[in-house]
Amino acid sequence: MKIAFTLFLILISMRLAAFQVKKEPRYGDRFFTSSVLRGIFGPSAEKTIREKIILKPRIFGGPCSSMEELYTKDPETGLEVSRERNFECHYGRGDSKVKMLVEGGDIRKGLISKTCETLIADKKSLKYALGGNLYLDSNNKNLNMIFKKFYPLTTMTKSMYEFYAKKRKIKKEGRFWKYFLLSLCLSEEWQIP
Amino acid sequence: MDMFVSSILSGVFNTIQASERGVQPRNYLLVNLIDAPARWPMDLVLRPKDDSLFVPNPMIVTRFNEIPKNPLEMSFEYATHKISGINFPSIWGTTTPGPRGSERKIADLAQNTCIIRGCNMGIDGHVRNNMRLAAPNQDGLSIGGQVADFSSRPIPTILLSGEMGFDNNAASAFKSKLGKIPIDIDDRVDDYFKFLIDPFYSKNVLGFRGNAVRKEFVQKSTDLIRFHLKRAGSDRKFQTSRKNIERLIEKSLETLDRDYQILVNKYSDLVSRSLRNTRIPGVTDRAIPGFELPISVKKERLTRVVEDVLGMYKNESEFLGEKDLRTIYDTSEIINLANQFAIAELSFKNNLTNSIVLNVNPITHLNYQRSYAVSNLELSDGPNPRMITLKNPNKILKSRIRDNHYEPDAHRTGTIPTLVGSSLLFRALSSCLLEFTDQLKAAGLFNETLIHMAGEFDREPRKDHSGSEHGWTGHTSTLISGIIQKPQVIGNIYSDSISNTDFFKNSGTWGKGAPVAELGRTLNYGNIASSIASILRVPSPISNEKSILAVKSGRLRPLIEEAKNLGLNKEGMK
Repeated sequence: MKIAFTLFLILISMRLAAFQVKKEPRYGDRFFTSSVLRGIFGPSAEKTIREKIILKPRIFGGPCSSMEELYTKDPETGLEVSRERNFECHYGRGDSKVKMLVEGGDIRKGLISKTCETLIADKKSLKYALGGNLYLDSNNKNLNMIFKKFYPLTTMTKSMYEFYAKKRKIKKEGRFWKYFLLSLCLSEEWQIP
Repeated sequence: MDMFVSSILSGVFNTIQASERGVQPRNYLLVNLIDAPARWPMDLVLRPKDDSLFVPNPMIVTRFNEIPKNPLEMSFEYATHKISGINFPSIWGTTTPGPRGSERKIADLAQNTCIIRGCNMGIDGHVRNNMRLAAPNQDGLSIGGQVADFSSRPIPTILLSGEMGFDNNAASAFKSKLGKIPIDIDDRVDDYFKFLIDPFYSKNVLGFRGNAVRKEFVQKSTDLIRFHLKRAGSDRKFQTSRKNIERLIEKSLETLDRDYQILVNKYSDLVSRSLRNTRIPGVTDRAIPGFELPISVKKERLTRVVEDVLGMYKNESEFLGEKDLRTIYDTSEIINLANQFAIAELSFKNNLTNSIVLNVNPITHLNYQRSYAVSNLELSDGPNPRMITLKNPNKILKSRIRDNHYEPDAHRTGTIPTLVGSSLLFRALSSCLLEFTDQLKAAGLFNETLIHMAGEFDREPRKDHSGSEHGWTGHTSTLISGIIQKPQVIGNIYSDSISNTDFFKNSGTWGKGAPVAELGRTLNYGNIASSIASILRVPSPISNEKSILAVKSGRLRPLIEEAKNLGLNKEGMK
């Protein structure tokens, strides 16, 4: 009887526990995230990336190392700036205590969304992302080339090509590429190392 | 087997708790009095009843007694103001600025206030004790983190970290079980509202927001990518909260922004009128003369140290020698206090968050016209009368409005600046809190909000008037909420002590924690944290400590005896 009761409790507990188990990805830190975007959108993306990602250590994770930070004078502004961005402690010592990897969250998603939109709206960044050609033909080869900027180890599938083939008629103001890049940029998987 | 069954039951219990998440926590505002200012002129009730044991200390004062011609004979008193039978510090009998040039009685705040005193923090130190205000178990979950985990508000927690930034204080101790991420707003941010909504709001930079083709394209395309990468998850929650905020914002961005600016102006006016040109009865209603040099020291004073004579005028590394000491506060400010209260009011009223930590900056921008560096004064060692004179007359410090401030960590702050500084700080805070609570009442949120005002610990005063040390064996937490419906003071203190945990023996009644009958020991911060968690409807971040308060029939009720002052403490002494 006691054994049966214990088994009953185990079964109930397992069933209830199943509802509690939650799988949450750990996202790349501010340095990882910004380095991916910097690589895709080029040097003119720097200001936006810095403002929206690098200066948000608590939201994106990525502690700085105050011991290794080096300062130098910015030739343009004359202000002291961190020479090595990977050790950036912009908000002081507290930045060295943030997490390495963080859970996602609405605030992070909101900032990524803003960053993506701002970068795609900027002609220079858009041109860089499209390999230097704002009028890039939207054929499968080019689609895959852009796709691989976000997901270098993956190739697009047939169903994806079919979907985008139907959308190629959206030519106005290069919107096809803007939509395509925005979809890739908003997808979260490239942010997970 | 017992352990096995208990672990199963604990799993079941956790699940039940999780299923209870439908209940929204109460709003929680921690007003963090960082660096532990002296609370005896503020909200530390040291003699709750007329017959409470009370041993005076020269520094434990709430007002000037009389202001004599000789500034060295300045005298003070510990005066109180009775509210519902409880003796509050005398400032509670005064008024503070209200909106549109009005005056409010500070006593009105007492009706919804419960003061917990006599909590032994167990260990000294600003950093660890300030962080414990939020996370009572060091590096454990924080109260705000618990609220964030159970909250459905779009912003898990707002940390108004002030000049201290996100480092070594209650703001940086935020920790949530579910990994919720707070928004930290420090002193470098100009517009708190714009900064707060920044992640959720963007201008239509691409020029096609709301375009149906774009929506369909991007959504489907993103889904395809996710499906292809086999990491299909759901963005529904984000989309919902973003949509909610965007709806709110699109509908009334200008209104909210304008509201915020109006709130900033309102609180700026309150703070400024609270600090400058004040007439607090017994404190700043008469000129407070500083001293003039040279000073002759009576022969019966055997001291050879300037501090022993001028200690009450000491403010950090200077002695204040103004003609009227009140004038140094005529330019004073509490940086960003107005912005902090404005964003707190806006956020609670618009359901943006359930939890806010507000680090209070010190009073700064003091205008010294005539003060003397401590190192520039000397006490002559010659025959009587001995004189205090300037070593170098060219080094009088004057006409400077700079980062001179009322140092809350008042080790080297004498009786006069402590009395005036803490009184002004409390006047500004009570003015903001009265307005804040009025707004919560009008919005029907006061019963659903808990304001918690606390510093790391109380202070142990010197007897020579020259400053106070960390009183870590005493701590005061003041709770304000609509569910508190009469003034309450709980927690016992010693009236005097000669224990080995004292900084100074026999320093009188300053707030040193004493045992409480129901616990069989002195309160510790875990008791306060558990009480706050229970009021907020979230699990305690330190669940092994008993709550000392309970909400019954919508009212807050103490679970321990009324506050008592016990006799001389000799704990640990042979």
